Amino acid sequence: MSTTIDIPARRAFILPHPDDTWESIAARQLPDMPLDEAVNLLKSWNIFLVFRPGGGAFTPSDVMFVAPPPAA
Amino acid sequence: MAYDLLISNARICDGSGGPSFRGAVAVRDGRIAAIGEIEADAAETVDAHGLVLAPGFIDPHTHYDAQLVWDGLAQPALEHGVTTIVPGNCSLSLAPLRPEHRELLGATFRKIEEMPKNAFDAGIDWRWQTFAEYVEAIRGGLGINVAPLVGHSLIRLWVMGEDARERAATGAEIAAMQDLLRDCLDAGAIGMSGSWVDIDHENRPVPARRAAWEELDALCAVLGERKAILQMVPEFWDPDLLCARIDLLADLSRSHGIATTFSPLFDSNAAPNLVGIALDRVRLQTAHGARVVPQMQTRPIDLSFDLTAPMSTFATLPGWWAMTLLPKEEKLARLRDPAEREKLKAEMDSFMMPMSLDLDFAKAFIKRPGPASQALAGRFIGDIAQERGCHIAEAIIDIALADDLETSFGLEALGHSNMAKIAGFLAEPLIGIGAGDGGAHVTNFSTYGDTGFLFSQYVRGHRAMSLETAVQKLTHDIADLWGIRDRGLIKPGYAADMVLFDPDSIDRGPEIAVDDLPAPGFRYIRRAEGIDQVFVNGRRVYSRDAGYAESRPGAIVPQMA
Repeated sequence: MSTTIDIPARRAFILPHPDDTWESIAARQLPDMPLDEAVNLLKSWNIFLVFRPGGGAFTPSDVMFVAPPPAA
Repeated sequence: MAYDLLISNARICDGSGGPSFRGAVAVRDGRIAAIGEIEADAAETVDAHGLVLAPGFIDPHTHYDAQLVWDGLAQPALEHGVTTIVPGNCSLSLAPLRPEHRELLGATFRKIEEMPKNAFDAGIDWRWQTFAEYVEAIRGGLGINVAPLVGHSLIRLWVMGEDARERAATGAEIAAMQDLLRDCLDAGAIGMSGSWVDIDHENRPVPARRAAWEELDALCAVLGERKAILQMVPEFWDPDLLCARIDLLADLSRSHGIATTFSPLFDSNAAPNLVGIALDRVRLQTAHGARVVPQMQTRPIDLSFDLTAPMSTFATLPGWWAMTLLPKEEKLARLRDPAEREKLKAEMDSFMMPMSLDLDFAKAFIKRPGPASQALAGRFIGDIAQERGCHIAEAIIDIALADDLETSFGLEALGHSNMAKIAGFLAEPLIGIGAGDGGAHVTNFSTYGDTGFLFSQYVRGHRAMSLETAVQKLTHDIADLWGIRDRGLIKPGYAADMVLFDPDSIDRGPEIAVDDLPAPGFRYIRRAEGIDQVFVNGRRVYSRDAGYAESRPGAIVPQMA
């Protein structure tokens, strides 16, 4: 996405590509981790997507967090 | 005659936020011609002693798209002093739309906006396909001004057909959408609406949600060509998601030089810090050159439900939702079946709160009793269940069964009801007033009267803002954000959209059920209190004494050049 100002997000996120899967995003965002572990971690950060009716399907307009929640 | 209309002896609150002042306003040819001390003849004079004269209020978040086809007054909006409405929000307008998609879009529109099918089908004659044709279909009968949005879901559906519900667009499709959006803006659209959360009648994401970022960005580039606005619905219940959406809107705003707005933003006990977190993010992005304006409604969140149709109250109770969808006889059998009743009880014991609302069915009350429950009117389900020694779910079911499912149940103050806290938010300059949903949810709750409620509760009651600031937030601020030309101020040359009201009594009335849809059935509305007269383009359209006038001076309002 185009942006002229880089303000750190409250919580790091991406917008999935149209052909992304949990695995492709996990591999891209958490490359230093075993894939299964990375997918589970990614899902744990995005429970709202996992439990969405339809079984964890996300759209390219969804926000997907790639970091844990900020400290309270 | 020098003027068509002279309103004299008024307390003029001109929408600028500046101090109100005594004077007269003269109107000629639908425009404000003069303000101040005016000694001249006019075809009609109004003595406004004791009343405030303000610009007509603007309601930026409505779904009157369907109602305007059969009711160019958008009743009861005008009687609350609203002279301009913005329909087409949340990615849903009624055009552009090909005939083969009418049933699909209609079902989605009715589900999301909770409109009765029979009224929708009876009232809409679908004499349009393009946005220009829809505008022409409603233009002639307008008593209220309309600044329509075009819905992103409709744009996708027109270009991609059913694939709009399935996938992202190709480059060629995005280019076609851009051209279509230009056509819609040329035909009178004030901007585009989208959604990041809505689901259709089949529980699938609305077409707008299938768009990849480059598509939304490309469409915002077109909005930027015209300085037109983008309205979006974010995940308003989660602070992290909401902040992410604010950041995305800020990127679009800065990249394309457009104003963006999102709705709703509301407070709840389940997420007491959410508004503060969101507001901080809006402040940060605003300080860095973005224009991202949250819309907040003035009224608490009230819901109602019955067992005849799925309603948003059952959004997180899928078993209850599915039950309401059944044909009546099957539904009645299901509600009488012990095993099915146990399932419904269990679900009511363990459902997830929808969207941070404080939903407690024990606090539901009999809102519209049926034939057998007249004596229970106003009583709480929790009390009735205790008296009967039964589960809350059983009390609801059995009362509904005794009434042949005609009972309506109400729930009040599920959120956005800490009025001392809301007062501070509404007074915040960066928060816009809106998100009212006028014309939608008609069998669930009344979406009218938020303007009067602002004055009664937050000007007179909590003293959160001055009368002048309240008027400014309902008029000039909205016109400025939305690019609505020549409205929102009492100023020479501006359209003579005005409201005369008693500042000591303006309010919303009690919620009532009326039978004025184009098919048998009811809707909830609120009448206005304290509104004396309403003028649109210089002509009286409503008065307290005579009701609605015959004239239809409303217009499709132009965007600022």
